[in-house]
Amino acid sequence: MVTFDVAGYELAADRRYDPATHMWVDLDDDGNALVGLDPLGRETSGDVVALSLHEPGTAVGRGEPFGDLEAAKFVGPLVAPVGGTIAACNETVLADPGLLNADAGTHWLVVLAGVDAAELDGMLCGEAEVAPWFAAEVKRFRTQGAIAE
Amino acid sequence: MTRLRVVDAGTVGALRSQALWHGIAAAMKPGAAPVLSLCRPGAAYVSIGYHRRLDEIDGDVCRAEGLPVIRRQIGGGPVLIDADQLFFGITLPVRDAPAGVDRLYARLLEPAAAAFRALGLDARLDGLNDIAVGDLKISGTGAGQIGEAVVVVGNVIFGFDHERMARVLALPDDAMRAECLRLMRRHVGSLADAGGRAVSAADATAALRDAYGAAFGTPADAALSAEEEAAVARWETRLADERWTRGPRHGAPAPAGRRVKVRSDVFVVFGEEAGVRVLASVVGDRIERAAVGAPHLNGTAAALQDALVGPCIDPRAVAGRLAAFGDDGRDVLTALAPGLEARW
Repeated sequence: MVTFDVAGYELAADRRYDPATHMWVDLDDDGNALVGLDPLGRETSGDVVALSLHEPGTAVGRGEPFGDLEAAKFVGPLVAPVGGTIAACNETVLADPGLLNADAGTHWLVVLAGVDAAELDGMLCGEAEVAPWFAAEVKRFRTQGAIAE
Repeated sequence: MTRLRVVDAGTVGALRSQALWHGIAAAMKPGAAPVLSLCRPGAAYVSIGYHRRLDEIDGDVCRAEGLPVIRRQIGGGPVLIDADQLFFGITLPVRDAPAGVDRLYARLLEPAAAAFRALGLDARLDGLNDIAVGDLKISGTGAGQIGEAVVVVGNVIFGFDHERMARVLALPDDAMRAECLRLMRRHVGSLADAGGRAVSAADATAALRDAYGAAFGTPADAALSAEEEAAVARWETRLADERWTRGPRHGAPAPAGRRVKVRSDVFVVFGEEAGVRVLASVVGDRIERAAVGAPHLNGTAAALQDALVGPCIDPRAVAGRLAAFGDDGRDVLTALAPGLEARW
């Protein structure tokens, strides 16, 4: 996997990143969207201890929850960066949510089928687009004290 | 100055004591004023965190004692709720909440700690989200995002039935129950246990109102709006629904072992491997007490127990102390590992 570094965070180069939800999308050969948390989305959540995902077959719209994450007794929604129908849930991560703490970048959460290409166009892709946004987000979260210096 | 709406529902039924703050959060719109909600449950029940397994609770005991089980949309484990507690919930629009769970708890719970200090207790935030006086947790909390709002909910404990709390937990054996009870007695208690003067619910309500008012805006008494009332009613229906109570991970395989958190950094762990049963009590960074049992161990069990006691923050340290015991030591480590992972 080709990656690039932004302010100490390793980001996969082959993904689309959604600034609104801090989720990444990786399209497979069939045009399905593998969805996961970007490193800042994971870090600001805290250490993940539990995860639940909506059942395969569930339709979710962009900005709607497709599951919930729990860290430090805080339960928060996982928000879809694009709309689609849940085709699969990552059972490995469901069984061991702590995997996300070590490496959220390689563990997808759900596969969404039937995604709208126009929604994908609104996401950031490639180092030239992603790096400036991500660097600004790191700075913003560090200024707020939400992540460590 | 910003206004803090204070909704004091008084003494309410079990369902409403949970639905109240769920509904307030669900009805909250971006830009809305923060809300401090207060209520006292009129009846005892067991509340369980959103992701926790229902089989962590002994259903037979709950049925025999008339304790309903209510799943909440925030995190944490099973807890006994009764009329000797007061709930406080602070709810604000998600856009107004600090990013990052650490800062969220610090911002939303420090006023509660300040309220306890105003009541004469030397209270502090303990770990991320407990409030303690010395070694004693006097308020447990949980949090979550519901709709467009973030809510942090805690309890003020005027009296705590440790025996009943230990009884409603489903545990592998009586030894673990006894150990949970021992640590709960030491680490969870009421305001009176913490050495404060006699504090009434009215005193605590007033102190919370003042402290959250100082942090979030001039407090103003408020009734639930029609929209909030409707949302609370919807949550009462949802919380009573058997499918909701089963939880989002219903049917998932049970994890290995058993772990009961008593307080921040205080927990009891049980595990079993190759016929070796291991029980360990972790306080801070140390295994404080351990019990190892297996028919084939004979005299080695006591030595293994002694070896387990000590620092546990580094798995290599625990492994090092068990290394001399060969396969038996490896079995003990394998049995305990799932429960200790939170410290690793």
